[in-house]
Amino acid sequence: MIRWLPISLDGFYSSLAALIRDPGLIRRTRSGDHDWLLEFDLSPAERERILVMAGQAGMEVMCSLYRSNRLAALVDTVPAIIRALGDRLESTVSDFWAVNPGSDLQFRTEAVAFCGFVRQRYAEDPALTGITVDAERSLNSMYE
Amino acid sequence: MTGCQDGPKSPDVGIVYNSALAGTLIANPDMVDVISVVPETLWHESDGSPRYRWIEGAVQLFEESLNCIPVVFHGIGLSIGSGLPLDIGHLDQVAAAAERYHPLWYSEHLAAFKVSCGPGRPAHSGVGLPVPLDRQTLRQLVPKVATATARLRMPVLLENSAIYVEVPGTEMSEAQFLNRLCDETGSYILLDLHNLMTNEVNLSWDADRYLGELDLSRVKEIHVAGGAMLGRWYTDAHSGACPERVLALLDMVVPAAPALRLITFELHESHFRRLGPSGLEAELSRLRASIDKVASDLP
Repeated sequence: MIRWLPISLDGFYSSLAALIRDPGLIRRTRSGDHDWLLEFDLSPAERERILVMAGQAGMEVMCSLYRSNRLAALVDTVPAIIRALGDRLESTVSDFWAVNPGSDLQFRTEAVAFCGFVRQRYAEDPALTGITVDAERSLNSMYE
Repeated sequence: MTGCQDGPKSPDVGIVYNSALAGTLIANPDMVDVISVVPETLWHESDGSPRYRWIEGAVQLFEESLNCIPVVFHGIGLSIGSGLPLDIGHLDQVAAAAERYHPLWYSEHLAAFKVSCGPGRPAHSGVGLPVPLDRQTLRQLVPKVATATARLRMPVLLENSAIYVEVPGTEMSEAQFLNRLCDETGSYILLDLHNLMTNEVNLSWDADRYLGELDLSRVKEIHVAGGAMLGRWYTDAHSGACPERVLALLDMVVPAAPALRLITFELHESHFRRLGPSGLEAELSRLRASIDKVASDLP
């Protein structure tokens, strides 16, 4: 039987947030790969808590809500880029979120980072990079 | 924006502000008694200096919508439930906004939104993270709530959240946790009946038992909303009309909550276009009817 000891909270929340950001990590955890937890400062009780939560069905909806919330920020602020990406949208936002794991309450911060990411990734696509420049200019004027 | 507030009579009907509602609120200044605003939507935060800058366009639109209607703050940035120290800079910014709008109170979710994420300022988790309901967490939260209350010099309300995963090994129920937090800090409860219903649907919570455990004398505000299915999960999407179950819970709580001042309807701006001003008015009328029904049932 697990004995639930006091937890430090931030390590617990950080590892839970990591799971929610990455459905692949949930699958790894469920299949018995727990090495990723070594990155976090977790007590044995915290570790057990995370493992139990990784197995709960509700993790799927947490992942969906995370992606939906972050995507909504981009749709709201840089819709022209979202439209221009077309079929490339899913892989682009997934890769963007992988290198920018922390979401931001401030849509502008998130959108400006996304503009830079898209510009760098699609440097060979002048039409798309032009859209990102216009979007960033529009963002700056909106928030000034 | 000063000198407008007399405070609402008890209980009034309000709405959580977003920019999509502005035109309707300006055209219909009597539509609601109180406006709840997420103060973080009125400024931009960056790593630069100054850390916070008002977004003039957003501020102007909000102030035009107010028309001397009393305000309450519904914050999302203190992340009181998190394991990080209270962000005093953010608290000071909320206090500065309070100087400007004189809110009747400040509320936040009982949840964690900010987590450590490498160097730099903490990251937002993207979704609210459920709080471990144990004494250790309570010990960490009490001083944060007390500090926020002292700095803001107004009542602080903690809101029950919609959760989709549960932290195992809890020592008390959420209602008991909120009661103890209120007892130890003098804070109050924002009871979100749609969140409670969401947990009832998804996690088989017993809403009647929850309300029986909760110290309803601490409830100052109630949130109601509509939701939507995401796969086989019911979500707190703020997507339209309140379900009948929420109104039934409202009918139970209103007469039993003597400190209740406000019932607030939440509607996500992307769904306002579908509901429209007449649909919004209909929802607000349903809330007023619930209040009137309770009043007429009193001896």
